[in-house]
Amino acid sequence: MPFKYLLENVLIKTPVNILTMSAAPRFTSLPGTKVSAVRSLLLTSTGIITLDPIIGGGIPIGSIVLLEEDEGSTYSKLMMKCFLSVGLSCGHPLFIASQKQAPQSLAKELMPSLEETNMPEHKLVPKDSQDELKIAWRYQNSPKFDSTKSSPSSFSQLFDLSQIVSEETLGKASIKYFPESVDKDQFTYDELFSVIQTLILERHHVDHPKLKTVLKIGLLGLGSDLWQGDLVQFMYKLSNLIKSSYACVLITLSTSCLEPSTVSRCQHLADIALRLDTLSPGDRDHYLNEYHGLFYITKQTSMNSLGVHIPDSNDWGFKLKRRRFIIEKLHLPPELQDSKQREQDDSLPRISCGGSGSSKAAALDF
Amino acid sequence: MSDIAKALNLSWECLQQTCVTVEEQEHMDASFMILSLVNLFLKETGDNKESTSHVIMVLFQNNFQHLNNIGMKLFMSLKSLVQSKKLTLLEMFSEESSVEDKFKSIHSSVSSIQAKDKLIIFSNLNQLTYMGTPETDVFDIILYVKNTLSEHTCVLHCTHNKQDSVMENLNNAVKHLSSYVIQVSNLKTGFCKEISGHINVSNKYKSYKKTHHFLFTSRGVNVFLPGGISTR
Repeated sequence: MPFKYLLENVLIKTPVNILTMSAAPRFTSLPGTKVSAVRSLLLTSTGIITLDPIIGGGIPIGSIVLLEEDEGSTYSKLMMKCFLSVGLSCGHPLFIASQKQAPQSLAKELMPSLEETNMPEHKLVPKDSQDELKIAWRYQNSPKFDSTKSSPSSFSQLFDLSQIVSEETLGKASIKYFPESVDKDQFTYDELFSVIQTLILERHHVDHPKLKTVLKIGLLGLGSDLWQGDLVQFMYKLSNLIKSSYACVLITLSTSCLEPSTVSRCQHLADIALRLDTLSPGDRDHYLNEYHGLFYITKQTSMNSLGVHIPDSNDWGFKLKRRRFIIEKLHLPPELQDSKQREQDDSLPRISCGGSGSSKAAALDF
Repeated sequence: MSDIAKALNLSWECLQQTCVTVEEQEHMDASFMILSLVNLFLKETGDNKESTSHVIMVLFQNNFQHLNNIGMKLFMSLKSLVQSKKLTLLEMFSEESSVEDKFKSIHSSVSSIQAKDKLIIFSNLNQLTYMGTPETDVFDIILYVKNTLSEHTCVLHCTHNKQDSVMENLNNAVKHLSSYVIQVSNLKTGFCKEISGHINVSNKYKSYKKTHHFLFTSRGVNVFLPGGISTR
């Protein structure tokens, strides 16, 4: 394939209005975004530095991420706060909708990035690592390199979960809330959609010539009984609207109130579908004791590409530390001699040739 | 692009049937299969200069940009087809009209196009149910398609979902009406670097059924028989 053809046709394509068939202005240097040349997508961060590479680099602009809530919705709310916080620190306009909790109070819980708080990095480093080196002592005074360090307007940022953003920062930010005031008990999906539609058509549609920001929409606790109307229809209309806009959506879904077929339809309409499953203390014995729950990737986006991004593993776990929320590959801890796992293994009959080697009576020796 | 149809033994005979169903499994994207059928149609009808050909794409989802990007990766530009008046797009997702109005709109658009050979693609038929359309009305539109557009070739694209009984009934109805059924599914066990999924092609009248594997590569899609390996 000639290189010129690649440059003209395969590289970055921003959303296109079908009716006019005209390409939207190309914003390749939007703050808080990066370009995926392979998939011809503009990506934005989830706010969790360990999650971005798992889903193929970040959330594509013009896509919907569906997050099935965990029991108690503690961690899903935390992921929502990370998603909104990274938008806030990059100067993106936000739209927050929630009925479980007032959206204004959710905005007050957002976190500032570590660079904004100017927190000394050594406070985040575990105490053990600050001790004097006993083996490689010659590297004691060499400068430390932190690969996770980021600038305020860069793509991925670290957040300190123990801190909240200042009211001054919130006042400067462009944030819209739904509902703006609690004047009635329940709101419908149609009302929510009309507010989002107005906002996008006014400022964030691909046809809008001057806009150079990405709208981040956070919808908390959809599917719960607090909302009225047809959820699937809302998702359908939203997915068609978002695909022609400079916006991305994170929806947390209360699956306990929904039928499996409705959840399945919502997953089909979303571009990325994720699920959190918390582990009760009873489940956390043996090898899962260091994780707070399991993380599942139900659907990866195939937007603008033939196939989906294949992650390194299918087994992921998450854990909440005092200041960080981490999603990582599920792995077994090192097997120590006095561990329960080893004792369990020893009790099993072993198969061996010749019958030598094992001191225990091997029932299956031959 | 023509390699896909060739590897699957899909010939002009396939597109001379009234209905061809392309069924994708949940979380699988069969856009490449639809585009390879478009390519096959244009290739077969393009040689004959006397008879003009035209493709009509009925979209129930806002995914033209996605289809165009997939086409680019398979060396086919949908935008240039639109500009050369070989392809017409009918958007059905933005209208809040009844099923009858939708079909009338499709029928009048198809009738107004003056071409001997027409390929009509109904992309994401299942999305009709997401709009809030009753199940019976969706069946009606499929019957309308079968009865009134039978002189042209129709490709019905739908998604298989085990958990959704409405969608499964709809799929069964669509497959019942079609002579050719092409099922594109992903691996049941997860992800693999050697195989992206498999394609089942079946012809109802010839009791022909064959399974192929495929692999997505940076250069396109490589189709091969089970037990074989991807050569690219």
